[in-house]
Amino acid sequence: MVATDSDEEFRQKVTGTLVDNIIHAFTSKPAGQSAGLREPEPEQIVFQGTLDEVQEFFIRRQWTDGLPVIPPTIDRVEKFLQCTDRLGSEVVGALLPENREATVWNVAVNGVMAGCRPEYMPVLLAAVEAVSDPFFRIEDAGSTPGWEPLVILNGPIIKELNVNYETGVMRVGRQANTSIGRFLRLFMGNVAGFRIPPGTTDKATIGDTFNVALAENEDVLAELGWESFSVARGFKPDENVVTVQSVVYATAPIASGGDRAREHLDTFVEVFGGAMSTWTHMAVNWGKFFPLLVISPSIARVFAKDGLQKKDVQQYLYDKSKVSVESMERLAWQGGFTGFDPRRMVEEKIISPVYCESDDPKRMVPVFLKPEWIGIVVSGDSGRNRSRGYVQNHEQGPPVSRRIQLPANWKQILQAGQH
Amino acid sequence: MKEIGYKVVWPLGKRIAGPVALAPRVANLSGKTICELSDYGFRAEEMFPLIRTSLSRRYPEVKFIEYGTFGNTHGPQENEIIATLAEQLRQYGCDAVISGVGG
Repeated sequence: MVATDSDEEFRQKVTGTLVDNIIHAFTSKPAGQSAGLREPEPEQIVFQGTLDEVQEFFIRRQWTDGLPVIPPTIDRVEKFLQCTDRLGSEVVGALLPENREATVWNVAVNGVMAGCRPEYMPVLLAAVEAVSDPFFRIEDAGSTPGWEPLVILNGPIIKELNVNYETGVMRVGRQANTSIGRFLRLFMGNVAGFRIPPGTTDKATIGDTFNVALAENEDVLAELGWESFSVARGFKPDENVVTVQSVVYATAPIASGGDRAREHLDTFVEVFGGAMSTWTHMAVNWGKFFPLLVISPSIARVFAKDGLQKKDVQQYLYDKSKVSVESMERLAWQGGFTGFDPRRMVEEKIISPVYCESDDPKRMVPVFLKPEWIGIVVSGDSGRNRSRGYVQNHEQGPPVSRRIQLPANWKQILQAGQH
Repeated sequence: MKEIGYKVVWPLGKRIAGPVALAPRVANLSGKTICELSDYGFRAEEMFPLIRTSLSRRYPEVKFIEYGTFGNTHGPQENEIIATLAEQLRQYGCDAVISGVGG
């Protein structure tokens, strides 16, 4: 482990074991690769048994997230397929690192297993489309910090599917939020291949549990004249949109008070900006950073009363949140970025010159790379004054949005689903 | 009471690519060109000089193309760098590559 080795330990490992292994790898013929076991066809029955036996069968193969799953029978999968106009055989994308096809069919299978209702299918498909975009870099979801995807919903579908956007919005409990979030983690295991030991590709040092889906309170947005998270990302106000982005960790709940915006903003800078500042070295190293701030409606109302829009909040946070270069460089080196060099990043036009305006290690530089890259979602208990920030993992899992494609008979589906 | 039996399907997806043939190995490293690839992290700036010195002691004729030549292969310009990497490795007459050294 190079980050904790002494200089002498490091030298011995490199000049001994590592160099020996390099020579061996270059000069020895590797063992032949096996063709692998023949894998099942999508609609093939792979097992028949009782509920308990199905659980054991799936657990032994690491096809679950450790929780019981709903048995994916063909009848149940077909109910999901009835909630999309797309064919089951359609390939939605390919997910690294296991390099497997994401199809409409296996989205439905994993949706069944996660406890989703069939009518969530259009949301599940849009979420998988988002993480299949190469820009999202799902192949990095097993990286050392252990990030999780977060599904963010906008549009009328929030109410149609009874998605929680009020008290306890980020807790398990409401079926839509919980099972949609669970689905994506399950899908990442089964199709992208991220499995904890005895799996091989998930290398999260500690990791975290899956995120439930987050929905924005669009009633409050309409009341305040604020644009939604998806509109800020280029969609129309009435479009149903899924955005997926990575989350590495959440801040403490941000308790801000007062009837003027400034009082809340300064607390946001201290708590939100402070928490994000421990990740700025990663942002600078990769040239991307999309942190997310979830504001409860009562605080959004104070901002709106003082004439602020979301972009004004973003700008204030960008202008006032600072971190010292000394701290950034120390955290970068300890995090493994031993060649961390903001000057090179500026020369390559990846970050702003503001990061290299002097050589003083104590100089303060912006925590955030761009104000518009700070996502803001209004959600949570309308009667309480708490907000929360979510650190996003730079180039890994940047926000990717997809419009949700509804089937032609969507209204009948909703009626049948009794929403 | 007799329990219901469930007939269940497979939750994974078809693999896109099968096994890839591995590149042939060299008999020894003498006179060969080794290219270095790095993400500029995990003490690469200390590790690669140590590797160069050690290998050069055992194979005096070995030649290195240092990782700075290729840029950060796991960084913000990764896609652009990877897109031209195979051609670059050919241009430098690369016989072997050191990559994927992490912590």
